[in-house]
Amino acid sequence: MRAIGLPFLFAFFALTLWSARAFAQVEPPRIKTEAQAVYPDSARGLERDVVVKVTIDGDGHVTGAEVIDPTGDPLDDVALDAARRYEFFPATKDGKPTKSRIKLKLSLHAPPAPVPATDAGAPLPPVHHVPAPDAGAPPPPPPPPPSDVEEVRVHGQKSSDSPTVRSLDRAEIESMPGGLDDAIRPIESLPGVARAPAFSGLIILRGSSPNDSQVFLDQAAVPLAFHFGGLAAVVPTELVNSVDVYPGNYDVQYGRGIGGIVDVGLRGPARDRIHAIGKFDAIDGSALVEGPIFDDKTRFLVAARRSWIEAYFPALATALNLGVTASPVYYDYQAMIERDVAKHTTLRLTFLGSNDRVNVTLQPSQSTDPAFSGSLSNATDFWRLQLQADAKLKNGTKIFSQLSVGQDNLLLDLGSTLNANSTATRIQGRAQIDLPIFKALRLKGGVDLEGGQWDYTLTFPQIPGSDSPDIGPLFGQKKLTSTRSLGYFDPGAFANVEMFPAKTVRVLVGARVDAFGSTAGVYLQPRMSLRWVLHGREGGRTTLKAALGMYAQAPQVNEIDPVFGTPGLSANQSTQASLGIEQEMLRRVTLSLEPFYKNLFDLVSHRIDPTQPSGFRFGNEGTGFAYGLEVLLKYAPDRHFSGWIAYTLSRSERRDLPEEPLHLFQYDQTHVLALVGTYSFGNGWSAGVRVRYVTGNPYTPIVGGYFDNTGGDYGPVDKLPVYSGRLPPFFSMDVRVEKKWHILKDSQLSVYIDVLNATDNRNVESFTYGYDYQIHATAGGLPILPSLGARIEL
Amino acid sequence: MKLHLFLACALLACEATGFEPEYVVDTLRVLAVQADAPIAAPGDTVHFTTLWADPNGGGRPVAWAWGTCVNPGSSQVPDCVAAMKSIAPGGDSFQAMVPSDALDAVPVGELGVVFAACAGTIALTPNAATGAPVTCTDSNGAVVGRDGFVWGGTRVVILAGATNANPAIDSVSIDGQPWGAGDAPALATCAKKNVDDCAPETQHVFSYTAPSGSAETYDVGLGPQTEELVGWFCVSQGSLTAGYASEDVDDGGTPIDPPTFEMTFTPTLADTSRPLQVWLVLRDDRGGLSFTERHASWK
Repeated sequence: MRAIGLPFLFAFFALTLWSARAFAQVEPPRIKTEAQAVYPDSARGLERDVVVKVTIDGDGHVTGAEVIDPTGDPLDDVALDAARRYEFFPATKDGKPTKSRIKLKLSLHAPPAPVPATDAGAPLPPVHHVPAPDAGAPPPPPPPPPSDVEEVRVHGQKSSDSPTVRSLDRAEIESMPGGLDDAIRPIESLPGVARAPAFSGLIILRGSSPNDSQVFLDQAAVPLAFHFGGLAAVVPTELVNSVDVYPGNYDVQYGRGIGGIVDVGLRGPARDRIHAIGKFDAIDGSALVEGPIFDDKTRFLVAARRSWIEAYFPALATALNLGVTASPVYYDYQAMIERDVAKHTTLRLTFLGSNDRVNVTLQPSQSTDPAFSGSLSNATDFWRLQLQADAKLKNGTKIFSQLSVGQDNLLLDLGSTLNANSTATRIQGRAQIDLPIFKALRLKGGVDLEGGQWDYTLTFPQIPGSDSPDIGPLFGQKKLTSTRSLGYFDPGAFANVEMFPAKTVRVLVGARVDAFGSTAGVYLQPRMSLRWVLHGREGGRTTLKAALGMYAQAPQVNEIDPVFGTPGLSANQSTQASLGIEQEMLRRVTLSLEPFYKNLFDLVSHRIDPTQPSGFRFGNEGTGFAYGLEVLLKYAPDRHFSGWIAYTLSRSERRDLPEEPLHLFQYDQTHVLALVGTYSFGNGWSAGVRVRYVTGNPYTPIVGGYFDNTGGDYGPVDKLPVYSGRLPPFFSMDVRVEKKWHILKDSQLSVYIDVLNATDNRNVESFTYGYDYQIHATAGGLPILPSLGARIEL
Repeated sequence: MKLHLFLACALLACEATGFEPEYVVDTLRVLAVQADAPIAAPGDTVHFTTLWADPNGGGRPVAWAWGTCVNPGSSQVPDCVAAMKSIAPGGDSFQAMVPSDALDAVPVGELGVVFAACAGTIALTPNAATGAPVTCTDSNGAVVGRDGFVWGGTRVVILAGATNANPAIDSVSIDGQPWGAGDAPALATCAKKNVDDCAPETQHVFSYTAPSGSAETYDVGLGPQTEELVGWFCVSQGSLTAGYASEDVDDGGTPIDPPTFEMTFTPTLADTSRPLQVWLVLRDDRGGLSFTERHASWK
């Protein structure tokens, strides 16, 4: 493997730590005395976190306080009153006390009335729980729990250079109806995200192929978003801070893709004490332990999850006479240690991984093609070891470094017909700096390196591509084998200039350069974005945003394989544009409209060529486009309600070869509508509903069948162009009811039932055909599926 | 079938469709096309023989048409149809010559053969509605459906200096007794629809063997590989455990010698007015095959 950039990365890492220490001569204030909150009668029963910006003088006294995100309820005043009575050890600069300003989070729990309540609002944070009052006698007003000095995360907005990023935080993820408490599945309720076919585990963003979008765990790319068939995300929800979806036009720090990005941000371990979380449902169980270790600057977290479907599925398959014995098993694990190496510098070491395997025994009576009978084994696993350093210097400079090493393994074994054994060793490195030049200008830049080694052996029949329609029997097909071991190095660099030509205008102009070891070219991708607050009144703000950029993505490994593909391909490319407007309509309601357009070119496609070993020659002859409109009407969560309406109007088409007509993209969905609402009734009860309506996926109609004598089975005759048919629309209503109890001290038990497809709508996922393709029937998706789960947090 | 759908069906139940199994032959069907040389060299002439059945046709005449393509690139039959220059009437056997220049541009070539069988009149014009290379009509001019029309294709590998022998069917037995081509053993019947409702004595085991060494070892530059043999079974009525069987193995999972293929038959909803017809096809995974036919009567 070529590792030209790694010494540079290590040097940058060291520089990050050194610079943090060198500049970290400002000591922040520390809490000396916490104040008691005083709750008026009007605040009874209210609970929420309030973040207050406080100004502290050189004696440690609070001289000013301001609620960051006031809701107008009495807790705003309670928080202000309490914050003003806090006492601090003052901040110091070069050892001398100095004035400072910090953000203080107060977890307020007003006593209930008239009936004692244990939980009156949004899901509680994982720390800072207040013991539940005893039923009956009104308890005395509790003091606020230990407060955090922290950065504020404004709900629904992501501090990002990308013009469009839609985030779901952990509370929203956990309460999502139909989400089955999964970390990633709820993103299907956001604009720009198409519905993936059942059991596919695909992520489809703005009309892009799933292969064109990337999944990151804490900014490091991973090969999978979901365990087997989309059953569960590869990280448990308990570990997730937020999930950020960039449907397109993302900024220069991301690359190597022409679709979108899903970045799952992992939270850090708890700082205050040891915590434990256990969760169990019908599919899997997980456990997590976290807290401080060694000293007050070091924290740890360990977590693991394992499925237990195999415990009951074989019996179920037998009872239902399914004819198959499938034993899917998955597990994932995470370990993290985090240390404050300086006042504003945190070092985090994370080790995480995922493992899926399934062994299926398919009886000949279930298949007419001998290639699809017998034992099928599929195992997929990956692991990553990531080291991150995040430093904030006194002059406002931010430095972020990350080094990730890992391995992806794939084993697919279906008799002698389909065999794949692949190991990819990956090293990824990122170093970036955010440098303020002066008040209206910031410079951001960095390097993003990826390299590694692919070792694989593939034995497959002559199959054009994974997204090709049904090609008939595989038995008797000419088998091809390729064994390769190749190193690769994909260096990238990026830079952005952030300008504020006016107080209400932010302009980002930058570029990214990527080189792909598998292609000869270097790809310069200029990108720019604009954000302009047209109308700045609080509660009625109007913001215009626009973005334009270029994107490049290397061909897939199989496409450049000498046996299965064609070496020497260029990168797939796209130009993406979006223009949007955000309008604050009411105090908590925001409407966002965002048209987008994506031009795709140099897409890798194939044409029949008998001179090639595979019979196909790949080239950069494909083109396509996707355009549409994304609409989001969102109600910012308050203590009772959260919800939104998301709608995407979209059209996505492809032209595989210049002489061929355009055809619909495989997952083109004209209308994607999601209505999500969750209401907290108090006393720990909450309920939510999600309603989805989605245009059916395109499919290739089959007009007849032919007998393939070599395979001893029939094959279909497709009606061309491909994907000219449309499945019926998808409709689903999911319902979730949850109850939380405070148990013991600082502990909570949650029990929920999540009912998918509560109306038992018979959605059509595909068609199944008689042996000669002359008759067909529909294959349905999930029937009504209730799932009961429980979570305990100690 | 897409892999993810296959896995999904494996994990959860695909809806039961109720489609009739492929192994029951109750329409005009071509069950096998044997090439006397599954691997041929440029200039060779290859002879094709068909195993076809029309058990409910009452002896109606069947018209045939044949066409060829050379090096279509894809192994998909529709791609051969697209590359085919012409199709001509013929009988239930056919012969084609491998062009002498078939390997001029490619290291390994392919001779594609397209066939159509029609219980009616064949017009040598494609049927755009079904993708068939010919149009089959009845005496009224109506297009014949699946009951009386079938088309398909087969492939011959073009490679100089290589051969592939068709695997032979050596002996056939029923319930362990030899079953000759002229025999018609009498079988007990079952009037029930479900196999599980039929008495054990009504179930019969069909079996056939291939000579030892039928699974050839070959090397086309990817290392030595051994053919996979699969035995197909078709019946005119009743139920089979499955439509095909891999080689029988011993308790340790090792294929027994000689290669043996076994299938259980249950005469569900037996129609005693018609004798039982059984068609057996043994295929290797390189285009080689052989076939035979057996009959049985009812007690």
